[in-house]
Amino acid sequence: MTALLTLDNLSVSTGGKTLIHGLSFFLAKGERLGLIGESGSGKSLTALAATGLLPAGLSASGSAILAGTEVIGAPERQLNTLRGTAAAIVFQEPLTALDPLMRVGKQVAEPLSRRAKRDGKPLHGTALDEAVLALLTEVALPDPPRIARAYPHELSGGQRQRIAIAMALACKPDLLIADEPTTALDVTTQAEILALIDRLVRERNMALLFISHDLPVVANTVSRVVVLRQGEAVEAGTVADVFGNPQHDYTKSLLAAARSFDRALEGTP
Amino acid sequence: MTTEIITAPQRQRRPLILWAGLILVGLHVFAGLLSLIWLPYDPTAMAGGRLEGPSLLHWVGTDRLGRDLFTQMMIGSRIALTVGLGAVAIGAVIGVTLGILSAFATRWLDDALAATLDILIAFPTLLIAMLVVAASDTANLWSAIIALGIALSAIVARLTRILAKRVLVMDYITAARTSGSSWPKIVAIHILPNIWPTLAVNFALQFGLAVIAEASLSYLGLGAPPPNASWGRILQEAQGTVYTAPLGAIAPGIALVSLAIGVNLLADGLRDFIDPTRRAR
Repeated sequence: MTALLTLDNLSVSTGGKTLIHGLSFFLAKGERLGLIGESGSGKSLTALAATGLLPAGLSASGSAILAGTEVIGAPERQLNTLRGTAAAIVFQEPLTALDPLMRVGKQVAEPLSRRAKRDGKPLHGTALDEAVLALLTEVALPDPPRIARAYPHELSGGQRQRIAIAMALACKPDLLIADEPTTALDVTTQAEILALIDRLVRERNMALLFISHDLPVVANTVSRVVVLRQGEAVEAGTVADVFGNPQHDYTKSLLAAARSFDRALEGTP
Repeated sequence: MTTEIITAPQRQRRPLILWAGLILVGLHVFAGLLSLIWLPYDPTAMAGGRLEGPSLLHWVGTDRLGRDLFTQMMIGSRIALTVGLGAVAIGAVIGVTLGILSAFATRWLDDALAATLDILIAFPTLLIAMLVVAASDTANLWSAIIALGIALSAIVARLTRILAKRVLVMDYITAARTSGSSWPKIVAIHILPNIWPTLAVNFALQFGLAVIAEASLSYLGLGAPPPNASWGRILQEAQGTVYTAPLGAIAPGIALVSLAIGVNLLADGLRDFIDPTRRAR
């Protein structure tokens, strides 16, 4: 198995405050890793640091190797080439992840034509339109020609998230980073989007870095997990090990909370 | 069903605003363009008696030298439109460029730019324009346009900066960067289209400001020199005879206000076409 993403002692800090402390993990091609922890534990920051997208004012140290390239300290131009091909991110809030003033078909076409150009097979006109429609079909959107002409505000949350996933797929990434992709959706839509991500990752043989605070969702989606707490990895291992036999108190409390929630749903005390 | 009832009157009001704006601006554009090829009288010639009232021959009367006022008003429309468009164009190019750069700049450069812009904004537009005109050797129309453009650019830059910053933190910008889009491309296809609706309305306000500021400059003798008939100068020349021939002062006033209001109505009406999220669904 070849390494796609290797974090080695990655730290992120701002103004003397450390947000991520010496995080290390390894993600192989085609593997699925879950990053779990409560809000503010540094899950999203880890994803941004791994793709060199940290907001201004945050600085990273240590090492993050994405597809054989050191991301930390790399010049913007090198990162740009890397980003369009190695990794793509699906964000939590599907409304802000789409440009409100651009028809969604055009938004999907944008990364699609860029990737095609990089592959040396530029797409234009009808060929590009067809590729967009094919991608919209692949993410199981109904009536792709109509959806392609719509603006984001004319679509439902689930449809928007499918568009966001289509945009990520358009890059043909080796690694798909899903940053709480279902948190902003209702439960039925959640299940559909999860099934979609599951199918796409399998069909395209992508690696998946799945960021979530929702333990059942993580357990069903990935094979290995890293538990983050206040920027530190407190536990890591396979889903069965970590969830079945938690070592750290924090993991235990997360699991206990999830279990009591389940019991409350079932109506047993 | 209920939403239909609530939104219906609003939908009908919009085109009305647009039409009112189109008609007001259209009249000035028509008069201004017509003045290039045809005028009722020679603007510098004595076409009738002094201070004549409105008649079929002289629609808004004559000034104290017997020149036809309507002719001057038409030339005034042309000058006002030229000044408005020119000043807003200059202000937009300088302002949007500075604003975008400032939004991308490092912390201290951004702070320095913002402070400079604040100081510029703190000066009244007219004062800056007067300084620029006074500093140039000859007062002509272009020195007034450039002066107003520079004065307006500070406000445009400040607005662009804050609008661009708000768009920059959106997820779709990060998403575009993840997919390998370059910054110039992101500015062109995401940032500018998203700040454009707000900027466009602001440009209309600026247009009105520029037209009024030019009239003020001309009134003070710092605008286009005679025989260019700016509304400000017509107003100033009519001042001495305002009790015997009030129309000479009222007409340029109405022209000024109607153009300024017309441009604002037009921008407000057009905004719904520019911004698809506001378009009636």
